[in-house]
Amino acid sequence: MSTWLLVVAIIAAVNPARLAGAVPAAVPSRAGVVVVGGLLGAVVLDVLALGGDAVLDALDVSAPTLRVAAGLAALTVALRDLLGPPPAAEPALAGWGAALVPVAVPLVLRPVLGVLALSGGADVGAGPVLAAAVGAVALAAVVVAVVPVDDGGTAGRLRRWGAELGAVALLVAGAGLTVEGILAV
Amino acid sequence: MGVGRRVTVAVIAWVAVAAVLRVGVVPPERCPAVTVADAETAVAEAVGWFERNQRDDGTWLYRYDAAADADLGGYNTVRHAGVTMSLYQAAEIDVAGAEAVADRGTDYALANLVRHDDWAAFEPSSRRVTTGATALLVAGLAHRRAATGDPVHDEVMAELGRFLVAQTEPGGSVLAEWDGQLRTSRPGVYSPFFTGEAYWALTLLHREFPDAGWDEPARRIGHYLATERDEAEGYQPDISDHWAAYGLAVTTTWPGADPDRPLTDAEAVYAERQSGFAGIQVRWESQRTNDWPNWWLRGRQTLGAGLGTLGEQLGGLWPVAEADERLDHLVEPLAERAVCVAGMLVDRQVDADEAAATADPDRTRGAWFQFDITQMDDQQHAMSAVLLALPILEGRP
Repeated sequence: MSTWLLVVAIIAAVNPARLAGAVPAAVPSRAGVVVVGGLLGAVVLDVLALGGDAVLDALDVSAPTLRVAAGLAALTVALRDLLGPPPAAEPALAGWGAALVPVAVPLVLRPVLGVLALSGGADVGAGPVLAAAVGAVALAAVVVAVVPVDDGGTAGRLRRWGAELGAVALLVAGAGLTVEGILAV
Repeated sequence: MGVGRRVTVAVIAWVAVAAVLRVGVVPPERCPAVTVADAETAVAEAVGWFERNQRDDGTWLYRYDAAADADLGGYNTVRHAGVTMSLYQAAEIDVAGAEAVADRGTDYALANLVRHDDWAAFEPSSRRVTTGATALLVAGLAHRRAATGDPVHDEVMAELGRFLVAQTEPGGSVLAEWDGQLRTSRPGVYSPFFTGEAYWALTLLHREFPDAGWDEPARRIGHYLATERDEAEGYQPDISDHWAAYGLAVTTTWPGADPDRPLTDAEAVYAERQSGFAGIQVRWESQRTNDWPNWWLRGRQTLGAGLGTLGEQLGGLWPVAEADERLDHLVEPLAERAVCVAGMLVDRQVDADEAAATADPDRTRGAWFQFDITQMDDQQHAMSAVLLALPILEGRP
């Protein structure tokens, strides 16, 4: 697996602009909530990546075949993000609890990221998975810090465009992973 | 929606995605464990099938229906040469009986040569003289020569080789047929397999006779295969070509080959692409169980010949990857897939106990069936695939 393809896929699947848009306004620190929840999710993904080889062995699945699965999952999610309705407002725990719900669950710990983490862990190791997930969280924190809360105007449009850009990147990375997985030995 | 319900929905989504992927995309890849002894037994059983089912004239039972206990008739000259070749591969590692059975197949072939100009070709009955039958006969005789050191067929090998050269066009494409009525090659007619077969045969001729100039047409075909064939002849996706893999493997052993990079750049790229084509097919096949819903999602398990050719391709490419440093990263996955094929083949071969329960154990034992039918090339390709997996199983280069 090309490491860069995995990194792009993970960042695009976290979709920093989409994540930033879903953080509730009424929290002590929106960027802080993104960082805490995002890192929590990133750690879980890295644990999955560390277990990638063991999971593959237990399930009798080869790494290239799981790469195809990760690519197809990414393609499906990307198409849904692009063509489906915009995500509804997520219910949230109060205060810093929002780091757990909705940031870690369900926004960062999306099933597609679980598959990407397992596949990436088996293919290129847990390091790139963790780096990509942390990078995506950092990007989301930057978006939250720079782009104001959605006011129905420019800020909201920018975030929507960013989210669509993320979905397009996921589409491309998903297609790349699928083709790579098919052509691998 | 409350927080608790949202978390529940998220958990359900994980479970649903995992279930869909497990059933639809990543069902278990079943590669039965196989040992050297298992593989040797499977080869010996396949040789036994050819021994028991060879006719007095040197041909073999071609197609057999075990359910009806019926010889379905028919014959194929290219496959006759292929079986003979495969048996000589077995003879090369001293499998009991293989050489004698192969020699009877050779006797039939050499008694049915067509001669024209300075060449000879193998065709017993038709005016459609195929390049493939002659190529595989040459390959078989080259293996025989390597196994025995016996030069008895050297002259006819050269005659047969000249036919292959005559069928090879300047750009490296290989005409599939020679018209026995018009006494000329049929222009513009190509075969998905004969090109690779001719390539392999000529690489073997150069290995056996390094000073006779067989390398030039072999290189020409090799370059054509690697750079043009699939596009020029309209194959989309590329042909998964086990014969080309055999040929590439031989070129890495040619006298004077670069010890680190024996392939050309184009051949190295081609070998990598071919490895991928074989790999995905083996992974797919290993997921097949013939049970519902797997049957619906993956199709039925393939023929012995189909699975065998994949094993031959992987087993042919494995020494190529071992020999060329640009393909180092393929050595392990190629070995893994080739052994997987061998495991599936050993598992699917009819053993003595299973054969005893059939109407004619002589025709079922050692064979590979699909829908109760076996064809002699099922045994040929499957046996060759298991033979090529042996060095991997034994851990030798």
